[in-house]
Amino acid sequence: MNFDRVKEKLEILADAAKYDVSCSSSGSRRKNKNNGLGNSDGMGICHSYTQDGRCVSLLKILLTNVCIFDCAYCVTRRSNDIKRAAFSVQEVVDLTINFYRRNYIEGLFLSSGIFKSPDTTMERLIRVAKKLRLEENFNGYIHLKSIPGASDELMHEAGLYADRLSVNIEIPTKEGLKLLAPEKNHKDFIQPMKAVNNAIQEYKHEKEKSRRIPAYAPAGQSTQMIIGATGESDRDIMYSANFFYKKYNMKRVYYSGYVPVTDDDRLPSLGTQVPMMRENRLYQADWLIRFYGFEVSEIVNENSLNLDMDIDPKLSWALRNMSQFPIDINKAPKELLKRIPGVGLKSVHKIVEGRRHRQLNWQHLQSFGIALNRAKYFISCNSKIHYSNDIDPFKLKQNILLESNSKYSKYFNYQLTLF
Amino acid sequence: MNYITYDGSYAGLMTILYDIFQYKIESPIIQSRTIKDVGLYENINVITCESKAAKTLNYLKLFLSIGELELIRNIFLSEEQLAEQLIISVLQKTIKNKSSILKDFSNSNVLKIHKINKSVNREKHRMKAFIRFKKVDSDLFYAECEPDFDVLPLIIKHFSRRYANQKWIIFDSKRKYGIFYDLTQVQFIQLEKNSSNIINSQRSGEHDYEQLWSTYFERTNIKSRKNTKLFIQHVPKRYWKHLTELK
Repeated sequence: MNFDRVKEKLEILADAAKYDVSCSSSGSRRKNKNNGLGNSDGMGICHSYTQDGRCVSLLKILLTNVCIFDCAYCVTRRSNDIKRAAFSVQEVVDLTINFYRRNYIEGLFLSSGIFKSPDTTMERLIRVAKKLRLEENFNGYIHLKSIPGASDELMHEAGLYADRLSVNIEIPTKEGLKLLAPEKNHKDFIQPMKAVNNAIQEYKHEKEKSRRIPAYAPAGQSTQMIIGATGESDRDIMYSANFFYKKYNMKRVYYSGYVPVTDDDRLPSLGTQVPMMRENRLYQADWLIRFYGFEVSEIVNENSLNLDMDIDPKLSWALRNMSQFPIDINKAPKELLKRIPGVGLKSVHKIVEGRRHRQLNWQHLQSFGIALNRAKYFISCNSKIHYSNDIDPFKLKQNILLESNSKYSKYFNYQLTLF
Repeated sequence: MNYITYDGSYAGLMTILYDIFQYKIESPIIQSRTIKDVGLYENINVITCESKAAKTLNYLKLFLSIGELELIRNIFLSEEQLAEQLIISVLQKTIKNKSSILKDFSNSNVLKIHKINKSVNREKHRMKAFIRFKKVDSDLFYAECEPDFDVLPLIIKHFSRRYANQKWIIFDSKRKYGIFYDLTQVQFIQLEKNSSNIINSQRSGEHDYEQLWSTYFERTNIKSRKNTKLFIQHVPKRYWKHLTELK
């Protein structure tokens, strides 16, 4: 291995891959077989963090940043005048194995610019994974990026070696995609997802009959969309995400605040702030749908097109639905407890277990780590003190904001929004 | 007050539990013999007995799940000052009730235990993440660490499963002992020589991989999203000196 050359390639091809937010290495159980190298035990490990606080668990690189497409939002687009490079299959294998042996990483996340054709590119990605699994006996995590437009046969093969497959939908609306990536077709993103989802279902079905069936993309599929590049609403985004969760059984949808990388009239100008707050709210809303039993329409709808920036989406929902409160901590079923602002899943667990032993009061709730500054207006418990929720939601919101010390408060100067 | 001293081992603590039930000792105060000021009081010294410890653990299995037993052990490995006291008090109560009280989150001792457990588990997880091996002579991979809690026993399974086909040592330089995997099993080791001897005998290629990793780390950063506070929260500074990419 020529270190200087590989280092140079790594500089270029890690740099180009960093805008993909997916970093998860969880959800796959892959045992270390035949005294090989590595395993995945279901729980991902972040081995390091970048200066911006994002997890580093996988070696995330592009195979090449040569690309035949010219999508406006992408650094690697054809018309961008940048240095191009390409790893050989063996170089990626060596880097992965050697980083893994030193406990730097959980595995590999391999993506690529599209060179020649989608199938040629996809085929090369598969070769890396295949070599790692079959020649190196590597059982660590592998995430392959599916190439839009790749054939069903190749997608099928990819799932035999990868733990997770993903294809980035990039832009949450069809119209936005048409504007920023006119050469790409919405259908080209959907087709590989469909192929992989079908194969996953098929293998699941087969596995019920025989244990010998090999693992097929055991960590499932994920996708990502860029937020804030095309003026879409949070409702557009959440409905789009929900579609992928429901229709293609996505394990995760990632939201990636647009980082301006190019001067293009169709896009926010260079130097525009990355919408980190909005990204954060979208992930909160995503969690409410996946783990807290909320329907998308309860969080975003015609009346609330966008998520509140100054309060979290659960609180926002509660303020719109005051009639559902107060919830009795000592009696309410789990499903209702989950809907109390400031009460997370772990607190719900503590409440349910704790109240078996005695009636819970404010002190107990405080000791569970519940955010009482928000929660207290929405609950009743075994105590004479009641915090009135019988006030106008707008005032209640102001009260809560005054009492809370959000790390984001510097972004708000309590000006009334115009909309 | 009954002051009990012991050798500081887990089996020792389980022996104490056996004895206080045998002799019906009410609210004992437990002190490891490593603590200096034990001479002030009259002490009962409990001598560790493997068979009593095993009996205790077996008995506890009637009321506690495997997870709950692990939790108790985690508390012990936390080296917290009150750890033994907490363990004895909740186990006494568990045995008295003939059922686990570890899920009674309205009991303040139980909450304390879960809090310590959370810290120990976090440290355990961090050691799985922040261990950095260097390849040294004879294909041995060596790592040094200084965990806040004594978590090496808790990460043996993880590393021996993951790195089944390479020899490795993880050395806790704070507690001066290590775990060594020789391709078949893991054993506890003391290193006689200063560990820097091992590092010095490094192969020349090692530096190249460290550089490649640092390069990757630097290049994967997005400058316009810089968030130092969050970064330090994830990777507290005390871990930096053992992290290749942050040295």
